[in-house]
Formats: sequence, structure tokens, C-alpha cells
Amino acid sequence: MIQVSHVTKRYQHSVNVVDDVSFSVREGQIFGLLGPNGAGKTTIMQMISTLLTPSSGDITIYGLNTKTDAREIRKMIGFLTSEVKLDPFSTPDKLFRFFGDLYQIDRSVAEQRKEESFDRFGIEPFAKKKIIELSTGMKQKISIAISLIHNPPVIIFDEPTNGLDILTAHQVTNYLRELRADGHIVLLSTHIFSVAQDLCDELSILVDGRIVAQGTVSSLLELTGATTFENAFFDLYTRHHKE
Amino acid sequence: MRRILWAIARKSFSRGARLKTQMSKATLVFSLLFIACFVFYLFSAFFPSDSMHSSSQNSAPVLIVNPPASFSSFVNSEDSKISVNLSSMFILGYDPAYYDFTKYQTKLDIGSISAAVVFPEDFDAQMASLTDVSRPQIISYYNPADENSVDAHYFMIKSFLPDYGFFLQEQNGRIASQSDYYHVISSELTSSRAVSDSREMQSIAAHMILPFLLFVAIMYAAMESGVSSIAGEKERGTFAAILLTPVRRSEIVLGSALGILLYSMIPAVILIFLLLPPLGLFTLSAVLYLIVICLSLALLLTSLILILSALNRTILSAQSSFLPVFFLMLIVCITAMQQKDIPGYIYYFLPFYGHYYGITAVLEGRYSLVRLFELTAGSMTLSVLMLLIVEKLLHVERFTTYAEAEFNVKKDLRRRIKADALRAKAAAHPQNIVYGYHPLKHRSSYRLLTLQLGLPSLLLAVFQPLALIFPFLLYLRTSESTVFLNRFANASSGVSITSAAQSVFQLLSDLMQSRFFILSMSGSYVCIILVYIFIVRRIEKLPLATAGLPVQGPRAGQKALRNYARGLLIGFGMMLGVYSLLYLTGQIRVDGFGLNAAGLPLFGAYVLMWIPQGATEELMLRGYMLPRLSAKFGRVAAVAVTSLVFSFLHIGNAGFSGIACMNLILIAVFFSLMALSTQQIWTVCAAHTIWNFAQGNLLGLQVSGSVSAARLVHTRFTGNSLHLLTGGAFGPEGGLAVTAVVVISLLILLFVRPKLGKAVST
Repeated sequence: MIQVSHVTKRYQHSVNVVDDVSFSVREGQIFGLLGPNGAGKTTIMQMISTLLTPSSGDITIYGLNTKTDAREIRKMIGFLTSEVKLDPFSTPDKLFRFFGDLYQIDRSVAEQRKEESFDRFGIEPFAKKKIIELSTGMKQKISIAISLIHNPPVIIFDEPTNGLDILTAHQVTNYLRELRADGHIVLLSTHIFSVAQDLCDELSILVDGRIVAQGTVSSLLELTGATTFENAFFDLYTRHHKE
Repeated sequence: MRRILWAIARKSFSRGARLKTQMSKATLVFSLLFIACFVFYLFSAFFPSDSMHSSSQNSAPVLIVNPPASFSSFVNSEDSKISVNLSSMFILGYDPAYYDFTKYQTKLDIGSISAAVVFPEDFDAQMASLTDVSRPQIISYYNPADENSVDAHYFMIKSFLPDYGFFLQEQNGRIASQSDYYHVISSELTSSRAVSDSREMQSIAAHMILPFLLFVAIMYAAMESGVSSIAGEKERGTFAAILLTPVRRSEIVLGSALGILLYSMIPAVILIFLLLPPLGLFTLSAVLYLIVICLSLALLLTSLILILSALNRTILSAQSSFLPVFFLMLIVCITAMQQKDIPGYIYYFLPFYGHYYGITAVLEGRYSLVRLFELTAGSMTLSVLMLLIVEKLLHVERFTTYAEAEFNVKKDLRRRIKADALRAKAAAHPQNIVYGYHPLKHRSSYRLLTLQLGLPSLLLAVFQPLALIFPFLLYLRTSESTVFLNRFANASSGVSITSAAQSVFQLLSDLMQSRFFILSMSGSYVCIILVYIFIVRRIEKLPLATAGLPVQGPRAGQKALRNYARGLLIGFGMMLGVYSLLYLTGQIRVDGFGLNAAGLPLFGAYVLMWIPQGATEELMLRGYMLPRLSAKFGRVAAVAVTSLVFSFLHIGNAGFSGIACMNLILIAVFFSLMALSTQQIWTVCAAHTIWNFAQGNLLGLQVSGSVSAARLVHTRFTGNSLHLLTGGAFGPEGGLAVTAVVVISLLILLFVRPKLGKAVST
């Protein structure tokens, strides 16, 4: 269970990038953060995955606070974001070995997981190729595979289908559904409405670092009185965005 | 833990980790060329005697010193059995000091001759008057260590000289054994060259080559892999991936350090194994000592570079911040190379110096375990401290996360917020807004002060010497210059720097009499003013009024003229006050009036010089600096700082004293208050100009230590004048008379303008 309560992030001499955000995500749930660029989605996720520290407020995962138990939390989290890149001159094989070492996963277990995910995403033929030579979709699949190398109960994916073709995107969303079925906690950020609509059990709409609405897709439609989810979003955005 | 460390350390060795190290192809090519030249030099220096031998195999000639006439006829005769081509084997030389063998030794050493045969100058005469007791002596010098020399010598004494003896016998008609005719003394010039060569090479290698090469190799390797480890990971966006894993920061630091350390040791170890054997220094203890010293050096550099790497976001910026370290190391290497004696004990403790001298000492076989321990303990402690700093740095968000777009967004926001804060500050303290100047950009106090104090210093440092060049070149063409050059040479050859400085000052005051110099100074002031106008108009994009020069608006020109005229009156009045005070108290007397016709151009040049001179100083301090400092620190601080700067600008002038300093500050405060109360600097520009002009050229006093040649009134100090009042060499500005006048003026100003404190721009 991820519990985000009254979290604010501000930089020195700056406004609040994330402003008093609260939500919680349960096991077996896909929770979506929806918002335009710069709304603070990535910052929230970075705070949950301990890359950043909240200026105020607390984030707990299974009762562990990100401020005090960062190392334990990092063991439980698989974080995928476009901000984090793969070493362009390494190969999928080497990367798996490297991260296996860093997570201190038993060599045989790591090998087994590698085979599984290589099979699932069709990485096997590219296992010995340099990352720089691979396509965007393949890189993303490798990133996903690596972020889940330690089989984390909490999965935080920052725009996982960004820049992927429709086939690969489908593969990814299907995988996320599987993970949900396995009882993982899935936190997702996106600015693609269809993904949000189809995949997420619950959504938070972020505008300028604040949550302006939260709930299921249907409850959001009800709230705004809009006919489509897109219209609901625009409505919320124009209402809450300040110049 | 071990697994994690090795996993991180291995990254230093992957090709990709270093691929983005910024090095242009040209740099690479030049470095390789440099190394190639260096290696070539090294090896050519290793085997110098070999190359010499090979050249002397082409039979270096035998030097015949003071060859007698009979010798020449012998060589040309049939009897000499010398074939024609062999006659080129001699070179003839004449030397009265034939007993001085050192010059032959040098020639033998460098192989330009294979042997030297030295005749006494009067050999033929001695032969003619041969007695039984005295025999002329021929000395043959050769180098027993050199085969060619031995051969040549052997040929000379066993074959050639005996033949010559027989020739002489026939010539002089005496029958006797050749030994009766002369003694041949064979003198071995046992050159210690071979031995000294290798010893010298060892010494050069120990002092210069090996430590330097090791330093460069370790430094470069550590830098290369160091900047790409943390900064490079940040730049490529792969660092966050490591931070996301449950790896401790300390493990990241240790792993990176391990990788860099091992990587930087590779070239060092290769160098040690490559260079020690040819130097004959390859012993187990030397190698072990060297490796330990190199390890501690590499660790020190590694931790230093890791700090830089952690502080920077890109490889390039990390590399640039490594530059100071690089220069530091270069300085260490160069100063250590100069040290020929055994350095003081303390040096063995110091990082870098200790490593350099340690390497030298090991190569010279005078290093001990105790020293090694001291050195490594010291630099280990330092390294550990630095690694701890790196670990702390990696807990700081701004050094761990890097997203350019996000960063820029934040930067924009920050800028906007700071601008808002500036506006709020200006609104809260309107009295601090001088000449209507509102700061556009937030600057930290440190940066603002650096900029504001640095700009005038920089401009003066550039333009004033520039102004000097042309007149100085002209001056050098005159005969007077020899006087100066002699004086300068005498002064600078002495120990005292002050006397050299004095002669320069003397030169300056000589130059002051030249109107070229004065006009060129005037030009430099105009340039400075133009630079300021450029800065305000083009860079700050503000009206000139914000520098105290309102030129726009209704009747601005007329107002400026009126203010300027007012300033002329005020300045002249004040200076007249000073003069009267001095005159009435009997400190000075008038010595004469008028200018001669020859002095007129100079007088004119002075007028042209004082106008931009006064304007420049006022524009710099009261015009530009004052409002900019005031907006940040408030009016009082701004006046204080500009006044202090004004005083310091004159510190180099002759006769500067405590009173002069105080007076200059007082004058500066007076000018500042005048500028503040009128919100423009036309008046003070004029006052400043006329003050100096009246002082130096009208009333014939000294201006801040400089005396002028063109004077309207010729003034002299009376015999019983008090320096305290008159200021002596510095001129009245160094005396209390000026203090009195300026204080009175200040009081009048404060009295006349009671609303000064509330003077606010509209």
C-alpha cells in the first residue's frame, strides 16, 4: 500500500512543484496520475521512489517512510521513467548482470528471471547488442524488464507507453494488467487518455502540482458533467490552471 | 557488498563509460606526438655514447697541436707512408697552452677527435739544439674507454711517430734511436663519461622524467575515468538507475573509487615496468615502493576527482573544474623538478610533493619504510575525508538528479520569483533607488560586488597601460630615455624593488610633461566612458539616466549644461578656498604668473585631459556603481563602498598618506551626496574636473601626487610650510587645508539641502 499524504515539493527560491498532494494505492490496483507536462507527475513518482525527498508531508509504502527507510523501500520498488536511461554502450545481458549484482539477486534466480522477461518481450535476439543500436521500443522493453528484475511488489511506471508503437504499447498494458492480477501495486503516470481510461482503476488529475480531481473514470465524468473523458479533463484543466 | 563494489568498479573499465570523454582529435594527435617526442628524447638520451661511437667509427681525425714545420714536410713526404686519402686524418691546431689537457678531453669525449698529439711550440728549435739531457716531449692523449681512440693512439705511437723520428734523423743527419730524440708521453685521459652518463641519466630520470611521467599518467587516467563515473553517469541519465537500487551511497562512492583507482594504476604500473629496467633501477623494493606511492597518489587524485565529479552535471564541466587541480599538479612537478638538493623533511609529508619527492628518493635509493608510511598515512587520511565528502554530496538532491528540461523550468521560475522579490524590495525602500535605476536581475552580493569592483579595476588596468604605450614608444626615441633606462637598470639591478618603482614613477612624471601622453590619457578616459555607455545602453538596455547622465527628456541638454556650469563653480570655489587658506596661513607664496607660448599646447592638452578624467572617475563610481550597489545594499553602504574605492584608486600615487586617504574619502562622500541630492552626475563631473584643473594648472599645486608643467600661477611652498596642512608631495589633497574646506562644503551641502535624506527619484 502506497500512502501519499500532504506531500509538497519546492525547490529553493521556487514555487511548489508539487503542492499538498495526497492519495493512496492498494494492492491489485492500477492508479493513474494524469496531467499535462510539467504538472508534477514525475516529481511525485521520484519522491515515492526515494530519488527526491518531499519538502513536507510523508510517503509510506507498506508502512515504511521514504525519508527514513529509503533502502528498504528501494528493494520493493520497480521504477520506470524516461529520465533514467540505459547505458548506451552496454548490452541487455550486461545490464541484467549489473543490476542483478546491485540488487544482490542470486545468480541463478537472476538468470531465470532474465530468461522469463527476455522471452516475454522478445529481447533474446538482441541480448548481445549494444543499447545504442536498438530501437526505442526495444529500449523501453529492456528498461521495463530491468526495472522489474528484483520482482518488486510496487511498480511505478512513468509514461510507460510513451513513444511506443501500438503493438508494443499493447504488450506493455497487457503486462501491467497481469501484474495487477498478481496483486502488485501499480502506479502509472500518463498523458494519454486511452491508457488512463482503459487501464486505471483510479485516477488523479494533476494541474500545476495540485490534484484537482480524483476517482474512477466514471466518477470524474459525473463530477464534470462531460460526455467524454477528454472533455472532462479539459474542463478540469481550464478551471484550475492559472497563468 | 563485494559484489556491488565490483559491479560499480567494473564500469570504469567499460569502453562506453569513457567514450564521451571530451577530447578533440587534435588534442589526441598532439598528445601522442608529444609523447612520441618525449620517448624519442628519452631513448636518445639513454644511449648517447653508442651514437657517438658509431660516428667516430668513420675515423675521427687526430688532433695535432702545434705541429712543427718538419711535421708538415714529413706528412707531405713519401716516407710518411700515408696515402693521400689518409692525410685527412689530421686536423692541425695551435695552442700555446698545450699542457691544458681538459680541452682535448672534451673533444675526445664528444668524439670529434680520436686522439690528440701535442707538440711543444718550439719543437723544431729544440730538435736543432738537442742536448743529451733535455729531450722535447710529445704528449699523446687518448681515451682508453674508446676503441677508436685506442686504435688511433696505437697507430700514432707505434707506427707514425717512429716513422717521423726516422724522418727527423735523416733530416738532421743524426743516427740514433728515436727515443733519443724525443719522449712520447702517452697520457690516458680516462674519461669518466660512460659512468657519469648513466649516473646523470639516472639522476635526470629520478628528478624529472619518471616522477613527472607517473604524475601525468595517473592524473590523466584518474581524470578520464573519474569525470565519467559520476558526472558522466549523470550526463547520460544512468545515475538515477543506480540510485534506484538498494545500493548505499557509500557503496557507490567506494565502488567508483575502486574502479578509478585501478584504472589509473594501469598506466603507472606499465610505466614502472617499462622505464625502470633500462635505467638500471629495477629492484623489487624499488618497484614495491613506487607502486605503493603511486597507489596513494592515485587514491588522492581519485577522491579529489570524485568530489568534482559529484559536484558537476556533465563530463565537460567536471573536466573544466579539474583544470585548477591540473595546474596545481603542474606547479608541484615544476617546482619539485627545480629542487636539486634533498628537500626538507616536511616535504615528504605533503600530498603531491611527498609523492614526487618520494618517487625521486626511491629511485635514488634513499627512501625508508617510515617515510612511506608517513606519506601514505597522510594522504590516505585526506582521501578518506574526501570520499566521505563525496558520500555526503550524494545525499544532496541537486547533485544526484539531473533533468535538463525540468532544471530549466525551475531556473525560469526561480528567476521570475527573484525578479518579483527585487521589485518588492525596491518598492519597500524607494530611497535606495538612485537615478531611477531598478536592478533587472537578481545577483548574489558576492557576484554583484565582484562585478562592480572588478569592472573599474579591469577597465583602468586595460586602458591606462594602453594609453602609455604610444607616448612611451615616442619617449624611447628621445635622448632622455637613456637617462630613464639607465636609472631603471641601476635600480632594478639593486635589491630594492621600491627604487625601481620610484624610477618608473619618475618616468611617469617625466611623461606627464609630454602632451602626447596627456592626450593619449585623455583618449583612454574617453574609451572608458564609451565602454560604460555601451554597458548601460547595449548590455543593460537602460537609459543613460540610470548612470546619472540624463540626456533624454525636455531640455535635457540645457539642464545638463546648467548643472555642469554649476559644478564648475562649486569645484573652482572649493579649490580657491583651499588656496586662500594656504595662502593666508602663509604656507605658500606666488612665484609668478602666466604661461609662456611654449607651454600653451600642453596647457590645452591638460584641459582636454581633465574633462574626461573627471567624468570617467565620476561615471565609474558615482554614476554607475553607486545606484547599482545602493539598490542591493542601501544608500549608506553604497556611498561608503564607492568612497573607499575612490580612495583606493589613488593609493599608488606618490606621497599617499593617511590624511590623503581620509581627504579622498571625504571628497568622495561630498561628491556622492551631491550626486544623490541632485540625482545626476553632471555637476560632480564638472566639479571633479575643475578641482583637478584649478589645482594643478591654474593654481600650480600638485594633484594627488602629480605635478604639472603648464601652470597659470606659479606657486611655491614657503620655507616654513607645514606638511600637515599642505600635504607635501601629494599636494593639498594630502593636507588638512583640504579637509577643512571639504568638511565645510559638506556642512553647507547638508544645510542647503535639508531634504537630502528624503531625496527620492520621481
